[in-house]
Amino acid sequence: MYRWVKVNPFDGKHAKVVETWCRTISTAMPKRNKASGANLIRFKLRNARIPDAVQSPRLTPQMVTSILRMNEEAVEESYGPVRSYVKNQLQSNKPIEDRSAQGHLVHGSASLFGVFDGHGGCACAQAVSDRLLSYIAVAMAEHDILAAINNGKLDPTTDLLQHIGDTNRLVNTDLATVHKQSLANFAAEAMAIAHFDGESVKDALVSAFLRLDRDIVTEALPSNLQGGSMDMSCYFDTLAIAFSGAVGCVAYIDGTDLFLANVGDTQAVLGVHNDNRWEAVPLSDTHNADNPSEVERITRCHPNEAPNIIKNRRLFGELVPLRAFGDVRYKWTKTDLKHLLNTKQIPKHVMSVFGDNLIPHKYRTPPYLDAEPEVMHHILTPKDKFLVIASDGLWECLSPDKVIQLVAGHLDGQQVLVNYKPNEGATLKEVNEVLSNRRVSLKNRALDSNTATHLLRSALGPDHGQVSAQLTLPQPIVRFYRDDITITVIFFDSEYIKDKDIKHTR
Amino acid sequence: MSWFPLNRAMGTAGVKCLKITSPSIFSRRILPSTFRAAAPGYVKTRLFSTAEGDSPSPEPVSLATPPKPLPQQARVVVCGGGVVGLSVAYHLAERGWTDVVVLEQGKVTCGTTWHSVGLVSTMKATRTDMAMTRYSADLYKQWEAEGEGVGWKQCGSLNVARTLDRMIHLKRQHAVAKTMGVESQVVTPAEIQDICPVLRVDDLQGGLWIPGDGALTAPDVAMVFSRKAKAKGVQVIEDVGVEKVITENGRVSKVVTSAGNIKCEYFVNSAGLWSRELGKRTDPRRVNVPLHACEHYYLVTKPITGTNPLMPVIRDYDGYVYFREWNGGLLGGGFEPSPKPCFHQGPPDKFEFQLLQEDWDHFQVLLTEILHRVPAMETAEIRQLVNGPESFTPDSRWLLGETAEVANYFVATGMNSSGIAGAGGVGKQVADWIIDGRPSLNMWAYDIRRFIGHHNNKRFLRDRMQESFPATAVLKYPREEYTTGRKLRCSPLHTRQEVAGAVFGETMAYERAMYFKLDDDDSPENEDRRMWTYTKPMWFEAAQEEYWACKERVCLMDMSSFAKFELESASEEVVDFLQKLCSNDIDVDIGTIVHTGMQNKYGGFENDTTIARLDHNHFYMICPATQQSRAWTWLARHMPQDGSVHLRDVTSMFSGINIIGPHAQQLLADVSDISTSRSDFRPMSCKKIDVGSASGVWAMRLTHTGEDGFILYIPSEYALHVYDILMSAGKDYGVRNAGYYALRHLRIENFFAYWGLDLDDRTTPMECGRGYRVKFDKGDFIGKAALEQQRDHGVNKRFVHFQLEDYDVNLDLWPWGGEPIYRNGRNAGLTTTCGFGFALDSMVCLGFVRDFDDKGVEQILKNSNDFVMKDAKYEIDIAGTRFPAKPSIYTPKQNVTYVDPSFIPAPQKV
Repeated sequence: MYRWVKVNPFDGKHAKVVETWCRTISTAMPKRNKASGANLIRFKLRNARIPDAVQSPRLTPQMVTSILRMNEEAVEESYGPVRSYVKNQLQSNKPIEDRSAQGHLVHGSASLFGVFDGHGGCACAQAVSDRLLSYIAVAMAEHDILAAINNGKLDPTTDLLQHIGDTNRLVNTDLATVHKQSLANFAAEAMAIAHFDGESVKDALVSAFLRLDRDIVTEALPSNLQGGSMDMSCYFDTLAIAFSGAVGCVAYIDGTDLFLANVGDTQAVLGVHNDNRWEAVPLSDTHNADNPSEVERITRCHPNEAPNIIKNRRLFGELVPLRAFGDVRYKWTKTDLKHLLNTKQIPKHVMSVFGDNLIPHKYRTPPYLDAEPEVMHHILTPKDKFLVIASDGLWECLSPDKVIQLVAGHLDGQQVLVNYKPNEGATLKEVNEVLSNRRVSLKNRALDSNTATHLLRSALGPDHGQVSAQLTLPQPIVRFYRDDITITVIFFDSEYIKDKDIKHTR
Repeated sequence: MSWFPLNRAMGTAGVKCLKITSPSIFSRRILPSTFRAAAPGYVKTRLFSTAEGDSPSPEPVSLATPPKPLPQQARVVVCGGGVVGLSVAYHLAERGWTDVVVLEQGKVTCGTTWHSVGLVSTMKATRTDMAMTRYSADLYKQWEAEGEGVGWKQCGSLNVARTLDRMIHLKRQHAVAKTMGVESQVVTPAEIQDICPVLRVDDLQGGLWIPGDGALTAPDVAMVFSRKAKAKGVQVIEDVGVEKVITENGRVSKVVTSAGNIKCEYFVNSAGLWSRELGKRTDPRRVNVPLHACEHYYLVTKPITGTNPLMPVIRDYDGYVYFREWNGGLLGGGFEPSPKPCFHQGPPDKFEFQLLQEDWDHFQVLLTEILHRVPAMETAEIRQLVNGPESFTPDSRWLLGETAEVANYFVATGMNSSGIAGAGGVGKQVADWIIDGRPSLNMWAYDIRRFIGHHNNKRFLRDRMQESFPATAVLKYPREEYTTGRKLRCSPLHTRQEVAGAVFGETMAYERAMYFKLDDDDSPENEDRRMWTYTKPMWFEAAQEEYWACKERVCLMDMSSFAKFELESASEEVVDFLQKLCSNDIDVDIGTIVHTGMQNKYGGFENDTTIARLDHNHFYMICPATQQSRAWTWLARHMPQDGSVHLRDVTSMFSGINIIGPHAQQLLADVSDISTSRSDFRPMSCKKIDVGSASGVWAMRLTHTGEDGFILYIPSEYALHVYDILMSAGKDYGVRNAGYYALRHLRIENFFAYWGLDLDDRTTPMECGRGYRVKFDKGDFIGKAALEQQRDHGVNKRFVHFQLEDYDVNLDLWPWGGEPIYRNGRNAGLTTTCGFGFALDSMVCLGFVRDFDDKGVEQILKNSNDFVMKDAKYEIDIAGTRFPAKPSIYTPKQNVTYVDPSFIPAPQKV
């Protein structure tokens, strides 16, 4: 018996349906509905019931823990105001479409932390995570550095940015030369037109984002193939990058300056400790249809098209974020898209993933999408204890307030691990007061020492049965329960900030 | 040679001062050489290193005599040079057994003794406890008076109560103490304030003041034991570890040590923290010594001005803490509810003089309570927080006596943090035990045979630590059950009973249904009724229902926990064997059941059993559950050497279902196709029958309660089938489940004595009204001479059935056993077990009545019946209130209600 059901996994009503069904599903094959583009799943109902995954966890606690910790990372090196950072990642898509990147600018004292969330494949997110920090480095470079790049003394891909963490960072070697050339061009143009003046960080971030998106879009134009500047396999790679998309959020931290550049629905939230209370301060807006100002921005650019553009709270009824890298289907002209379809060198199956409607319905005045980041500037104070940047997979499970509470509690719990010894000459009353406070903190001591893993576990469960159920969802349906989750938590050095703060105010 | 005293007082001869200001423990230092390779995480420590006089001496001074060669043989080898081992050696020497060697792997006092707080309290839970600690206290006081220098100071102790229940507990102790001549006084909060002004008293209900208690310097006591023992010829040899104990024919034969072998007759395991591991190193059969180490904390402050050096020892156990004065400051420690068990894999090497890493966070619970009770400590500074591991047993009682596994292998260990207070008494009892074959007090509560093999399970021990460690402080109600380490041995009916609402208790780790909840037991209006209490408990109504069902209808009771043995021989050797052991005549017709005691040579009950003769050479023996280890040991030790008698423990093979009540006869007939009328199936007879579709069921017409009925012993895998058949067949007879509370009330009302509760190895059949079961004319048996002596010349005590008068079961405090009995105003003993008699409609207490002279010595009762019944007015003291009691030496008549179920009225035919 087969039944066809339209499922929107993030809609509370349907999630319930899927949940009850999930117990009886053996195979589920996602299939794109030709008419609407929405996901329709064909379920084959089992005759026999499968045990409830929450009540009867298939994983042992040890297995759950090792899966959750597989991608965890903690870097304890202090750098400027950053005391340490931790991150973790859990996949839902296969392969995972989230990426993250972090690094220090070689010239200067800034750190960069980026979290990127791809869609329609991981190619674009991979490219952005690979390239964006270097673009920012170039955009931040002052005249003499740009000059050194232009005369070949500095390699823009390796000499401007020092990557940290991620020892097994993936780099596309085939496209390395293409990407390097694009970056060199950016450096040359930056020197010629508007190089960094040391002040307008915001403009530099915006230009880096926009430039990278422009490069992604143009590298894939069919003219490149015909011009012979690329071989076929390289070109297919650029196509994969351009036709997939990515959103992302980058934190730029230099001294007490914190800039958050955001495109799409990745979010950054600051944990502020104020009078013994923890407060969540969002440092980014989400760019999707839930944000009225975003909808208004788009409709303003495309007057009279409003009903066509935003359908089902998605761009052309398909795309959730309203700003993104890649996604050339909403950026190229209709001519370019048609040209691509008619290019004989490109086998049909390459484009067929998008179905027959490569060009969105009523596609009149592209581009409908861009990658201009919204940049927020925040001056760090000693009250700002940590920053959480995470892809929407986390925020769908946990509210920013909850996330801040969890991190704060975890921080509290981890801090008391050191063996307490009373000071020489302390009175018993004093000792008891310290111990009473520690007692509260000790209750917060979590199973996972890594804060990001702690968040991940809390997002999925936190009960063992729930986490196990989440981790054993079969591949075709897991995506309807949760998105890829990437979490980076940056801890600030309050002492450093306090020092800087004093100097600053003086 | 790894520790040495500094120039200050050390508990050696010649020092004759009260060392209140400088107890030797302060000056004891431990040289680094002791700690060759300390295990990581353990602290190499010096206790209380003080600022003054703390410069390390360049050369260690040795007090020990140069190493002597190990003797080739000795009568007794004691392993462990702590206070207990040395006390055993001292007491053996006192009685003339001087061929004793004490082996210590480190130095004398190492292990636990050296960090002991040194409290000597005589106010204990039972009379035996009190007798032993009082003996210790008297000994230490005497030594101090003789100038031995044990740092004794008689500061008294003050046990305070925050709750009314604690107050009842103290009053109950007070009542027992009075019968022993231990001086104590119930005091009000205001009086507490006067005795000890530093205490906060506004939240106290009152307390108990024991002026004769005191505190001392623990290692010095050990040193005195050692010195006095050595003076009598005992050899105390340090730096020799016991590697193995070799046995031959189930007896100790040789001790293998790090310095050679010693042949010996007796071995005493007093190895404290090490004793469980040492027990395992017995060849070829390991000895179970169930104890586990647990961290124990106490804090010592720097001097506090105004501290009275004779401040009493304070025990505020509702807050888990105790205090004593220490060198001008205060010492506060305690027994917190969530302790930290340690040394799960055994103590690490070279731990003899080490402490554990202190965990301040763990201590916080106690610190709060310490500061609460003595606010003056808030401004005090810390001298040291001591985390010294101590060993605890599953029921927080000491482990003493001869082991079940190996003859002549004794233990004196598992002191549960009261080693100093106990050492004197324990040493004396164990020495008596070795020399006389039995201790001079009833030691069943401490007898290591109260445990079975499973109790030695490490994880069980660790789990149980959560309760047995705090048990020192936490108020335990009468008969309160442990909740950890449960559900270990469950009968096949366990799940059925659970579904039926059973509430379980535990004996020998066997889960037994105590009662079955009534429908409204869980209703909101019954919420405040309590399971554990000094007054009427919440199970009362349920037990009452079950009681009446047993009396008037029929009940099923799970008796699977009883210890069961089978004895067989090729021809009739087993008859001779049992005739020698039993005081009743067991050479009876096949199919007959005999109740009999097994007496020791003093006539006391080693065991009280029911023996069924299944065949001319085959007997089935049923003993109380608690006897599983002890009975086996007693039988096995007396077994003919030629191996002609074969003994099997079949406890786990058979499940027992007791069918009690007037309808039992008809019910069994309905399911078994046999005639169960009294003429065809006589009381005290047994048959192998089929029940339902199950075969091989031994049916015995007895119930252990005095009511009519049967016990079915069923091969365990058939038990559920039989139970279900009986339950469905019994529907119209009003069958129901009954638990042990019902059984207990039936048998107490019917004046049935139970071994372990009423009877012990110091009670003879003549004293409990069972003389008729002793067959003097059957030939010789163990204890015959002693019993004849009693028969002819009188007994020491008499078992009596009391009914309380002017007693309200709903309002008054309940008797639980252990309440003093007064005869004409003079103490005449304690009650043993108590329960409400539903048929008599009065509270029933069983107990032994003795005739004490003015010095408290038992007099022989020439005519015990007259002594009990004639010209005697009785009172029973429940926590200070004396209730008049009506005595009886027979089962009261209105109790014997005999309903003959064979009578079925039918309409007369015209």
